[in-house]
Amino acid sequence: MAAEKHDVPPAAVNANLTEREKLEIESSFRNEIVATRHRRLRRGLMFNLIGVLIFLAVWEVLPRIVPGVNIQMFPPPSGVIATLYGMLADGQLAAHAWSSLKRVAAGFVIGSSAGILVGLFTGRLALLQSMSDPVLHGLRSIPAIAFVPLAIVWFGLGETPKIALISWGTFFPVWISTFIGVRDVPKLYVQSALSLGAGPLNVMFRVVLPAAMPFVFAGLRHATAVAFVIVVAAELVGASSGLGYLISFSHLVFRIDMMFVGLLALGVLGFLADAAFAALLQRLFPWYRAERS
Amino acid sequence: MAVDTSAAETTHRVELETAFLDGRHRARRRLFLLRAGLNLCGVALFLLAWESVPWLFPSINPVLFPTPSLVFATFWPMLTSGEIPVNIAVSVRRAATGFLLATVLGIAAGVFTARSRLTEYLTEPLLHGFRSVPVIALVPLSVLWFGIGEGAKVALVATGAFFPIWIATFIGVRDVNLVYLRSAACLGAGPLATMFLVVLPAALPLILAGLRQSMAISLIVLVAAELSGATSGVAYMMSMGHQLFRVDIMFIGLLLLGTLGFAFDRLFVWLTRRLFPWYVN
Repeated sequence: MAAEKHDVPPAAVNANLTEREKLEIESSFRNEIVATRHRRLRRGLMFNLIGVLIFLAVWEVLPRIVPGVNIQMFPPPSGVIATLYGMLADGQLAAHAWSSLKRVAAGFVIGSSAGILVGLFTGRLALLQSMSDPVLHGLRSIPAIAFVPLAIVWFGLGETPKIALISWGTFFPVWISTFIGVRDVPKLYVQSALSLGAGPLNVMFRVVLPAAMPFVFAGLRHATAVAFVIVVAAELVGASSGLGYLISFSHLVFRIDMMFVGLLALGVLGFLADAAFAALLQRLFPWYRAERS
Repeated sequence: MAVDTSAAETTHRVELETAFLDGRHRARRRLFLLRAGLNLCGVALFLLAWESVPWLFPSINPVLFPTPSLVFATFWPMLTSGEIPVNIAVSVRRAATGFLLATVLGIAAGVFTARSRLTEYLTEPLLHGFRSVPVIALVPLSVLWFGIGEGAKVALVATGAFFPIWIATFIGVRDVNLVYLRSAACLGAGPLATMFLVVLPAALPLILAGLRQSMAISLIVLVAAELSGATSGVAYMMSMGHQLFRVDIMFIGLLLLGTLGFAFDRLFVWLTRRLFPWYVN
């Protein structure tokens, strides 16, 4: 008997409420959800911050209390920040970062445009693909770092070897993802374009390339990360400016705090480049949702 | 009579079927052979083009741009004298030790940090912060801290290989289907049983992807570590070649590194197919 009393269908309850009451319930419910979500977000951010603070505190304290640790070898965050501030103030850090960024940009543009072109052609032409596959995959499996000595022998110590190395390193991820994107373009698109009278160039640049764009951009994004790794490797060996040079120079003069500043700058630049890329992607192609995260 | 016709029909159908299958099989085989032939053609063309560079451009110094025949002439004595096998063994041992170390630590860290909300939030920014620093940039620091001994190289490789494994395990464990966990809890599984029988198997595909990625990274870091200071190893051989202006030796090093990277990747794929056949893609 008691169970039957609770068995009033929800529609009947709703029928007893006026329109306004319904709206009120709905809005209060929605507010509740938003508030809970905000609270959860705030709590998450707070824990994030606490994690970072714990890490910094341990790093600050450990070199001072553990006996036998040379503080010059493990500089605490306060020392690193002081050095960072000094290097920011005299513009040294900005200059190094700028020359690294210039190299990365030049190499990235060359390498990724070559990658997109080669990817388009190998993805569209089966003959070309079969012929180039073993050579390209063979070259791809060689770590780009291993080309640093060779680049120095061939191109010397100027800007050329660094830009060449970055182009080389960024070429492969862009090529391979463009290739996959072009290969997997739905046949229907190509056939429709052909039956509407599109020529091969039109098909390539107005059908295949746009359809493969999400893959191309995934490759480009991967390539930015690769470019930052290679610029460091290239600058560690022979350079007179750049963040990699800053690190190797501080190595020579035993300034570990300066090395940390260099590492920090590299991490921040890499992170910012990736974030900027993601934002640009969202701006330019809001319909490619999958590539956002 | 009726039985006879149906039997005849059946044999006819079987014949048709085998003929069809044979035809398809043959077509596939032909395609495969064609592709292999074109692959071979491509490699041959590449080598030929490279070999003919000194003929076409006499101004190019053959010492700086050695032809494949020259590289092979250097390669063979180095192989038979045992110089190359020894260097390969040293490099592989370093990479493998670092990689195994990173595997154990990375999976442990991933499981530990993803199992509770608190540790997840506490460690996430650190994880992303560390990840955005290129490992290569740590080479000088590690030389100062650990010297240029064997331990430093293994530590570097382990550091580089650690992060992809950590991140992959972290994501895999964090995103385990809640239904699995509840079912296990309902069936009375303890925390250990849940961990090893439910969470880890569910996260395995992602962990394997992380392992594969970090295998490639460990080879890269190994090269960086050996270039910076070593007395043996494939990359050491290359840096010797650099100092002696022997570009042919450097090419041999590149060739070996490419082969090693490719072989390990294939081996890994083969092993996962063997061990976990139900995770094929």
